[in-house]
Amino acid sequence: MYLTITEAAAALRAGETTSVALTTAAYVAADAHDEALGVYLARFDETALAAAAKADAELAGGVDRGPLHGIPLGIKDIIATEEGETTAQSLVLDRAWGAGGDAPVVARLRAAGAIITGKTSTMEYAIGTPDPDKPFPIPRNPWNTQHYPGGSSSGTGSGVAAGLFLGGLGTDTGGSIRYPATSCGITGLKQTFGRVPKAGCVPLGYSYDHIGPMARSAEDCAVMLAVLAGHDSSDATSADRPVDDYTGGLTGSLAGLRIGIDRLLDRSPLTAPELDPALDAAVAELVAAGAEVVDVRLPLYDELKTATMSGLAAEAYAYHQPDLRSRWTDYGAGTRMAVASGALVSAGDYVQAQRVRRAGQRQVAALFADVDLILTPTSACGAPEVDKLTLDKIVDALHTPYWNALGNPAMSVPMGFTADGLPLGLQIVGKPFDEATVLAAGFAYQQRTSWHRQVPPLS
Amino acid sequence: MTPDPTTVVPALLAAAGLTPSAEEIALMIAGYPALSESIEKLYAVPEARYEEPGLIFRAEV
Repeated sequence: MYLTITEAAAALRAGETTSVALTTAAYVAADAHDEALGVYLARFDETALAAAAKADAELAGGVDRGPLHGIPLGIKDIIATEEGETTAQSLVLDRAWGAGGDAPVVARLRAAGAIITGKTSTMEYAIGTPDPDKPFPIPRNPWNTQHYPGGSSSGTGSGVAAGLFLGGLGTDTGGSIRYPATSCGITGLKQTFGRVPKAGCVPLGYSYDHIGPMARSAEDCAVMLAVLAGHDSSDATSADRPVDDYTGGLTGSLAGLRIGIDRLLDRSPLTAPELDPALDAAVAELVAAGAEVVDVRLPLYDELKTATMSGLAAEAYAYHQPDLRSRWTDYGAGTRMAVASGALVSAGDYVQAQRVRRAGQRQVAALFADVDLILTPTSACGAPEVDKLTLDKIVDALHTPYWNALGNPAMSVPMGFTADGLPLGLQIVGKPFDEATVLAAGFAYQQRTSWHRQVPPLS
Repeated sequence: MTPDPTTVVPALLAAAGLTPSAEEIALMIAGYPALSESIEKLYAVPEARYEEPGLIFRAEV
């Protein structure tokens, strides 16, 4: 089950495998590893295998729904699916929430022939840290189960890395797709805000939330985004503009592209010594693919990170306030503290954060007048140990929240390992709605490297 | 001047109707100066002085 989606799609059409075989293998891997990894909150074996059999029959009958036809995918359990309830990994969420059926993104995947294998673990309500006192699995990293797989899309990240499905959906408000992607050694894309509709997803920060693809490769993310992208009126922030051809530009050549890099080594007290050499090596590969790479300095770095973290806390607090009052201890300890911090942000502070976001957008747009893409590390270091997790340390390490304040597309691709064997990630950022160039750069990088092909040493 | 977190934090939590434990309140008090300082920096961004907020509002739903 370590195929990419595109490899599996080719094998299906060549008659080398079937959707039932792929889905069965996914569940065999889950049987073997899920107890240790905490990937699934719910499995849909019966409906998934039935859907896989239907997918096989359709392909045999000449009905081809595209490259996701018959491909097993996991869905983060804050996104509604018709198979069952959504929990947000919380005792608090009303189990009737999401009873209306599939979120638009899930409906799009299903219409494209994808097989929904189950709902995956998350930080509670996509924020906080795992709470061992609550009746949910503690997500663990397949590269070292003493370590965290990143979050909040923990189960989708570790499930892809461990071969429990070929791809899946995560959500990203401050980095919750890109953090598990870098931590688990897979590829994850937070596309432009509004590019993919987020209706049918439990909100965290309304103006920062994204639903996006997580998979082994940039090519797989392109395939998924082609299905996920597009306007939906059920989301007030959904962008009504044409969807680009995300796979057509995956040539392997970056000739003519000018790429800026800000290594951000001094921006985190947790920067790993392996990070700078890994960035050097990544830059060398991009240059070899034809790009010009120049140093840049991201403007308003601290301020925009604050605009994301304080703004999402305020937005999350507005959503959770009634339940925080009446059900404080039903929330996990890390989640209630993180959300309650929104009560310490004034209305004026919140509006000021939104003004700084606008100012930041203008300054970063000016930067993008000189470059086509910007590179940073995704995180300053490898994933921390589960037993030593704090939200403050997670935020200190991450270079992802900056881009949630701005809305630009940002993708994490694997770029090596720390000395103790934990994955590191390269963040590739584009202009708003220019996911095609981000994906093309990720594809070219992965044509020249094999970090995304590495498989964790599961027993 | 940064307000005294031992006064501000319990007051804000009480005004919000939240009832964290004493230990949790102590943690929030300890973290408040850093939060307050980072938010103060938002007001010091000169380019934001005459900027409009990126709030979402439309006259039709």
